[in-house]
Amino acid sequence: MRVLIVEDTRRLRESLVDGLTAAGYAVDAVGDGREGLIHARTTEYDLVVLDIMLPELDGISLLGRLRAAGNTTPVLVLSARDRVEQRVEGLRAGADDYLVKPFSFDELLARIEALTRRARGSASNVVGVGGVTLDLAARRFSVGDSPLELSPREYAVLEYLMMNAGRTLSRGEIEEHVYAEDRQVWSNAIDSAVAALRKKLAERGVHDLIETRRGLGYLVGKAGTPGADA
Amino acid sequence: MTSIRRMLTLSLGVAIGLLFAVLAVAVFFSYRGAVRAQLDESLRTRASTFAAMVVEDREEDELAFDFEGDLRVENQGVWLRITDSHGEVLAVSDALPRVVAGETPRPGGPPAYRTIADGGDTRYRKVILNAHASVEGDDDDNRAPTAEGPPVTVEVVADASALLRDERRWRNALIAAFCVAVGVTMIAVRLVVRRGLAPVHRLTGELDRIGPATLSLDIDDHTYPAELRPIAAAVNGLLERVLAGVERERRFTDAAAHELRTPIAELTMLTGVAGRYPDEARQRRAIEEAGAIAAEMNTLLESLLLAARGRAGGKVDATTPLGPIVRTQLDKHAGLLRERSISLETEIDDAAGWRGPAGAALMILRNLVENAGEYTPEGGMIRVAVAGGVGSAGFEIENGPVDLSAADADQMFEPFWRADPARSGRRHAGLGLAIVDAFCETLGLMRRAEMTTDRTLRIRIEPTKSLTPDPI
Repeated sequence: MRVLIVEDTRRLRESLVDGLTAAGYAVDAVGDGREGLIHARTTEYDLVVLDIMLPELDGISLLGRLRAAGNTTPVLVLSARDRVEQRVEGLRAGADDYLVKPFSFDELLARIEALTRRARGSASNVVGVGGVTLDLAARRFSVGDSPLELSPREYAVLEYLMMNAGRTLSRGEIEEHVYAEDRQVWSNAIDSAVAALRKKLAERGVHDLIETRRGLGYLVGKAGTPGADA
Repeated sequence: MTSIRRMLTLSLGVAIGLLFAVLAVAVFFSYRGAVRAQLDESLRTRASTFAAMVVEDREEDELAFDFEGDLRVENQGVWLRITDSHGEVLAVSDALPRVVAGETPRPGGPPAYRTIADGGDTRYRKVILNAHASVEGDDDDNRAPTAEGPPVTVEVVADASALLRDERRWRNALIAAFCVAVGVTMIAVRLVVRRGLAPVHRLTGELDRIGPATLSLDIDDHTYPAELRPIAAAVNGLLERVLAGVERERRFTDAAAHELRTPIAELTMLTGVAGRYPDEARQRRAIEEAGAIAAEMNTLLESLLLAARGRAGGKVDATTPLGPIVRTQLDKHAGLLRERSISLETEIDDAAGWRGPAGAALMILRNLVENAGEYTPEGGMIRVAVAGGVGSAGFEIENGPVDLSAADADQMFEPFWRADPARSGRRHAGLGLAIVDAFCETLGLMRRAEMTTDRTLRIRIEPTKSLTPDPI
């Protein structure tokens, strides 16, 4: 999943990028509101982490413009402004969650998971498709009871496919959600990741989970709870 | 506790009560005076009449009381005693009361009046009239005492008990009326005072309703009586000042929270990420960054303490010349100014100085010069002027063009104020001008910041009651 961080404090921005990248997210980060708005409008993010007090364009204005343009990407506001009216202002401007600085990284991760879960219309952190289970909180795949070991890139591709189960996803779309903008992406990166995934899944007896739609992209079967399709 | 209502009620009550008392006493004494005067006049007339009946027979050389009637009190209504100049009684009524008879009349002099008590409830009123007997041969029908006749003293006594009882009744009635009037007056005064003070209670109610959330509400002073309007207006002024203070505190708290929360958030994130994803390089970086964050927080703390110490600093009588300090500070920034093509104009009077420790003057001038150097854009200008006398210098610094508003100029000396509302960057916390403000207070200096029409920020520092000419 791809996350945009708009935070002007360099050190905090770098820590957020480091932590979220380590957690498996593709992360883009910018230091002012104007640049943040451009990124949010031109790239499809799964989540935006937004500071309020920003140079060039403040977070509330950025959020207002984003929502006015019909952008529904979940936005998590980070701010040192902790008064009730300030939090209310942020939420009313279109934020999906509000986290007051200082905050723990674990809490931030939990809130990001909750927001992405809510965005896909699920109340559970666990997604199951075709015998494969994804635990979003533990950031782990499993087939049956045994874990499925995947590289970060494979994890990111399969996660995105399963999160969008039942929908055909183009290579470009998968790339956009799986890689941060500063990453060098080879033209066949998604294809080779899918091939590696199919091999690992086949070793566990899972065949045809990822379907190729010629000229369109890839499709994973309709989503369901693990209990339902196990 | 002093109560205006009680004080007014008591004062008005006592004043009106005293007035009633004086009126009652006046009425009583006028009534008594009139009644007594009437009685005395009647007694004196009777005495004159009796005196005219004393006749001198010159041939016999004797005095006689020429009265054929009955002298008893039952018939005359009064007692009578007539004595000659030798004290010999010429005529006397029967049963003349002893207390009345006891007094020896004194011949000569004007008529005298006495009220005599008998020891019980009876009171007598007596007139003593010194007259002259008539001389026999006068016309009997028009007889009157003449100066030729020998002197006689006529005492006429009337029982005045009824009169005195009447007086007592009047007195009691007046006292009762006075008490009732005072009572009614006190009730009326209380009601009037309460009504008069009703606007005070209304004002108190309005003030009671003012809370932290309603500080911006104005009291409508036009609805109050003229006496309370200045108070209502003063309260409105006070509320405005309180509101401004609260707003200033709020800005300070917001800014302080941001300045402190941001490094704490940085620390929390660094340690959180390093703890969750342990990696040697990440942990090393976290340790290095934590040290830098601690140093920044320490600088912030030192700046805050410096501002606080500046305010608490004592006065020193020595004078600090400003010229050398300003030149040193400008020299420190000369390279930077050249690099950024910033023009510098100076006009420095070396004799000019401030009274106070050199360290305080240095803190003020260093921060102002640093600020101007830091925030003047490339190609801009800085002007510095020092003028005035020993201990009464005016210092002025201008820099521009800068994108600040008049409101910014008003607030820039507040702790944590920053021109950038996003408060980005960790090099400055917005305490430099707060430090200037604190040391100005220490040195008894007045500071003023304003934006000129050509986007230039002008800051002027001078002694509070400076008479020095404008340095620029």
